[in-house]
Parts: sequence; structure tokens; C-alpha cells
Amino acid sequence: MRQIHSNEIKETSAAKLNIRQISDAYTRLAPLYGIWEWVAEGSAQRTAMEMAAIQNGESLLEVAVGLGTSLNILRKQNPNGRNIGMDLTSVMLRRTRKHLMIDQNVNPALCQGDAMVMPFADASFDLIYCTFLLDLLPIPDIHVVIREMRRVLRPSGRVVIAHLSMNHRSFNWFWILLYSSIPMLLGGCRPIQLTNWLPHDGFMVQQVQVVSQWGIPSEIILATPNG
Amino acid sequence: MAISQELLDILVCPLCKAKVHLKSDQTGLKCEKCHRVYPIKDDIPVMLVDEASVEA
Repeated sequence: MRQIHSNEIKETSAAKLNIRQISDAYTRLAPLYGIWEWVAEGSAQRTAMEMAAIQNGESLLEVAVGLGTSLNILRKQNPNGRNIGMDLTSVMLRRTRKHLMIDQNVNPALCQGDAMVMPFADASFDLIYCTFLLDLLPIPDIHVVIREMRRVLRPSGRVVIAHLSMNHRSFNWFWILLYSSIPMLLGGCRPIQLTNWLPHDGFMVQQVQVVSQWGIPSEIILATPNG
Repeated sequence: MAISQELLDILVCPLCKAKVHLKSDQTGLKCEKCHRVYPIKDDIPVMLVDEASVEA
């Protein structure tokens, strides 16, 4: 695990978009999102799925399911479990359903919801999987989402989070330059660092890994409830 | 196409966290506490407070 020097969430730039702007933007970007996934996220997604190590029979929630690429892989590893996908945008969910039904002709368990007020009962899940959502959000909203994850996670559960990483100074500088001008050119996300803050929101970090794809670094975190 | 039972089992009202139940006409999920009805569009529950209506 790499050294952490701060006890609060860091960001390279304050978030430029609110949740409604993000939802509208991803509704428009949905047809092209697969390209972004391929360019920037594939390596991190594979690492996150390995870190998740789902066991058949578990209850899984993917928050911000996107096009359903990861959920489709995870549910095949968990055929006897509960596999639920949530997203804020209806366009993404319709694409996810189409994607999932290619493999299995049953209605997948999807719902439209806001990660800040999740529509699930307390302690419903063994695993929450959330990639490339938190780096879109303002810091106060990140705290709310993490606390919601804690609420719907079982005490013995775990969360796997992936986000753009702040590891390389030159990369941070370049990203801020573009993000400050045209946030959606970069998918609306900016590098953040949240590992040391997770204990304040109810989680203990168990594992951290940084992967880089086409020079874009992502941090993948495995964390468990801390009490 | 029906909403999966595994999803219905754990869905709650995002606002008050009370149980929701499927309306008899299957057009929405109604909160037992605040009586908000969350619509079902294209067989996907829309669990957004802004999209809900309140029924007596």
C-alpha cells in the first residue's frame, strides 16, 4: 500500500458539474461511453473485479452501472446471488438492460436511483462495486455517497471503489488545464484522493492499487466497514 | 416483463427508507409511509424523489 500524507479527501480541482449536469451530460454521451470505457477504464475495471473477488451467492450492488460491462461479468461469477445495478440516467440503464439480455433472456435487476439517497434497505449487500463515479462529484457529495454505501452494506461486507488517481503531478496539471476549460471533454471527472478519509465515513481501507492505462492513472480501493 | 423479485425484496423509499410495494396495476412502487409512488418505466423502477408523485 502506498504512503498517504493527508487525512482528508484531496482533489485537483473543485468539481465543475452538479449531479443534474452530470446526468444530462451522460445521457448525451451514452452512445459514445463504450469508447471512453475502452480507452480509460478497462484496466482499472479488471483490477477492481479481481479485488472484489465475488463469491457465488453474494448480494452485489453496482452503483453507477454505466453500460453494464462490469455487471455482466460479475453476475456470471455470481449466478446464485443477487446482482443489482443502479444508475442515475435512464438511457444508461436501457443500454445496460439490452447488453445484459443478450446473454440471458431475463429482466436484469436494475433501478434508476441517486447514489446520495439509495433506494435500498439497510445492510442489503455483501459487495458494493462503484467505479468512476466519485471523481465526478463535489467533495461534500462524495461523503454522502460513501455514508450511503456504509448504510446499505452488511457489517461483513466490502466495497470496491475506482477513481481517477492524483499520482502523477504532470498528469494532474494537464488534467486540470483541460477540466477547467471543458469539463465534459474528460467525462466530467477529475483526479481525487480519498483513501485516508474513508475511516471518517465508516470504512477501513484494506487494499489500494494504482493502475495506468494510456497514461491515465486510476486508484482502486478495497475497504470494509470499520465497526 | 416483470421486475425481479430479488430487487423488490430490498427496495425502499429513498426519502423515508420505508418499504415500497408494487401497485396492483404494476405502474409504480408505493411507499407505505409517505405514500410517494415511484414510476416504473420500461420495466425499470425510477426511484428518484423528483420523479415521484404522492397518492392518498
